Amino acid sequence: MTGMEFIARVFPYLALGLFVLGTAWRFLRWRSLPAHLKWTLYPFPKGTAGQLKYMAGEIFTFGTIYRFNRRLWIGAYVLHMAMGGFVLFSILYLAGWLPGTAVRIILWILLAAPVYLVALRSFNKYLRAVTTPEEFFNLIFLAAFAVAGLAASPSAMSPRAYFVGLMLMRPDAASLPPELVPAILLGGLFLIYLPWSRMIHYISKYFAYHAIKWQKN
Amino acid sequence: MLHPPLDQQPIDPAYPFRSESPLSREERKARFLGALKGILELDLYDRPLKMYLDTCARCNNCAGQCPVFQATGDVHDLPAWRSDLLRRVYRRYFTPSGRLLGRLVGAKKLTAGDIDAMVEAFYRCTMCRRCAVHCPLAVDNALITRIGRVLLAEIGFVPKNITVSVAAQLAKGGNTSSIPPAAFIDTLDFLEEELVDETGINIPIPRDVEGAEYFFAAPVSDYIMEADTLMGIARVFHAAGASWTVGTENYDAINYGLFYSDDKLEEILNRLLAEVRRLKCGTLVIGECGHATKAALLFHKVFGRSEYRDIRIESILQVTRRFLAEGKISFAASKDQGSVTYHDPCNLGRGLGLYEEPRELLAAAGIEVVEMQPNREMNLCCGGGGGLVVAPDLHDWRMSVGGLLKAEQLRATGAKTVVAPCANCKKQLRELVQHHNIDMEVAGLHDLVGRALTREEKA
Ligand code: SF4
Ligand code: SF4
Repeated sequence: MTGMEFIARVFPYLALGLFVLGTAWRFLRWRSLPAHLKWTLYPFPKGTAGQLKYMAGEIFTFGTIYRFNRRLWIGAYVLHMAMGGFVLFSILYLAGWLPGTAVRIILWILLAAPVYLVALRSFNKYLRAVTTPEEFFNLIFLAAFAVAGLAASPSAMSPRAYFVGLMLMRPDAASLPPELVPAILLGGLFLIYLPWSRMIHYISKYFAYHAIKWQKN
Repeated sequence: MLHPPLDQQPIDPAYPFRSESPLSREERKARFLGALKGILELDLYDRPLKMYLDTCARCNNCAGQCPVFQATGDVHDLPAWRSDLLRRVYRRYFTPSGRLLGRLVGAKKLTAGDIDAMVEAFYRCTMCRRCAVHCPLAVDNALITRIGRVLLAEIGFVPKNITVSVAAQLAKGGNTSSIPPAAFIDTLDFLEEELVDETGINIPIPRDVEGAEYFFAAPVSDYIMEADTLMGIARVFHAAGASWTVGTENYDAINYGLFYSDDKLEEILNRLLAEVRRLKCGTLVIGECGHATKAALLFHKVFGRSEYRDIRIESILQVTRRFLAEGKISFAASKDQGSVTYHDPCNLGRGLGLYEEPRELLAAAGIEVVEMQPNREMNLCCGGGGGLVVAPDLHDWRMSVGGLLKAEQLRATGAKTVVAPCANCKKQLRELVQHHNIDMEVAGLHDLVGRALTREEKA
């Protein structure tokens, strides 16, 4: 198997598999941690419906940051929505329901948001004091992925056939536009890295709220 | 500079706490790390601690809520920065990524200078938990502060006044104010006489009554400082016809272990529970005191000896509120109290959810409350929380930093009286109104509630 074949036919599955395994491992580990000490913070939303509503509100609006930290919110909110949006738009594009331009726009946003956040974290004295190199690395990683995606987008060959093959478990190296390789590599590495980085808050948040902050008597 | 300076120097040269430890600087590091390892292996804190140490988005949302940071604007008072003092050591020694990648992932080797910085930083946080309310990731910096203090205690650093009080309490038959039993009994007699003077009837403060339903324990300093609160509580128990008692072998609910030591917390709690058991009472009622109530209620099931687990623990606020709901007490049309505002003690509010009980009692007593802004879960700490009020050498800091925003908040209400059902809050608030020239009385909840009761003659 050539390097190209590995990247086209094995790596995407490997990355996704490691992402799922890593996330599951961290989820299960956190879930298995005992919670002897109740560390509830009062008051908390009542009932499952109330809690879901709060969580949904928080996840879809970043309300707490919006209220108290507007400048950071602009960057953080746009970044997170762009990440979700990228996945969604890519699927719609592959399904033929969205033009490639939509994906390109989202990639531009995915580039602009980290750049903005890097600047904010560098120039705001308080954010700089709590930012570690890891935050910068994560942001630059995302920006690099967006650049790679943008660089690949005006390629001669449509990536649709390749991705559809991938989804149908029939990956075909020949249908992979070579311009897409850096984006695939960066995207895959990002997925592998995600569960082990601070960005793991996509699951830690669940526990920190439901299993600690809102723990009932 | 992309990261806080690596070897921390003291944050504020004027801050009175410095690490004074008999240990050499090398020994301090070794002990500190050993203690951290011990805590991480301990089941007790597993879930919250590991989670808080692993995740923080460094968004500084907490900073906007922290009264200390708001007062100083100093980067070293950023809650996330403070927590990071511990977090980066944890990363360096206890996570693979930290061991491997070091500073790149915010991990850092522990130095004696870091420990000096922690001594100061963890005692500049009042553990009020206000910052946790709006953390998008639900991180609670106050728990990290507490763990940080537990570790510092392991290497011998605890503010002197706290250790002195705890030593006095743990001495045989002791208490934090070193009130001997004979003097305690005299005080009870005195309070009973005062009650006769005030009400014209006999309202006993029962002592050592075996089998009483309620065992009452106040922070012992109330017997010196808060006679009105204690008399109000006695009036409530009496009016409700409740069977209650105080114990003459242990009458101190204070538990400073909450601020720095699990071992002490456990010992103090079990000594109190032993007294409840000696008198065969079913319910331990903690008086008007935030930290004492939280220490007892929260840690009863984890630190209380198994034979004491069946003892019920309640706050006096809950008990009085229930008496009202059950019709056991009632209030006369209120005499004019002047305008009153209510201070939510952090440990009773955010810590235990007792927001409405005191308000309902005041309302029932016909006392209109001018709310502070903000209030309830967003109320500002008095500035003396986390045990800081115990240290006289921190007085200036508590006035000009810890309680600065509180003072402004008090003034803005224009109220004549601030009610705070917590001994520590009351002490700090009294110092604050005096220091900031605010014309305001500081009172306990039962001071007012007791006075508003329907005359108890029949009971
Ligand atoms: S608000 Fe929470 S996540 Fe944000 S910096 Fe503070 S502790 Fe970290
Ligand atoms: S617990 Fe209170 S004093 Fe401590 S960091 Fe949070 S808001 Fe500030």
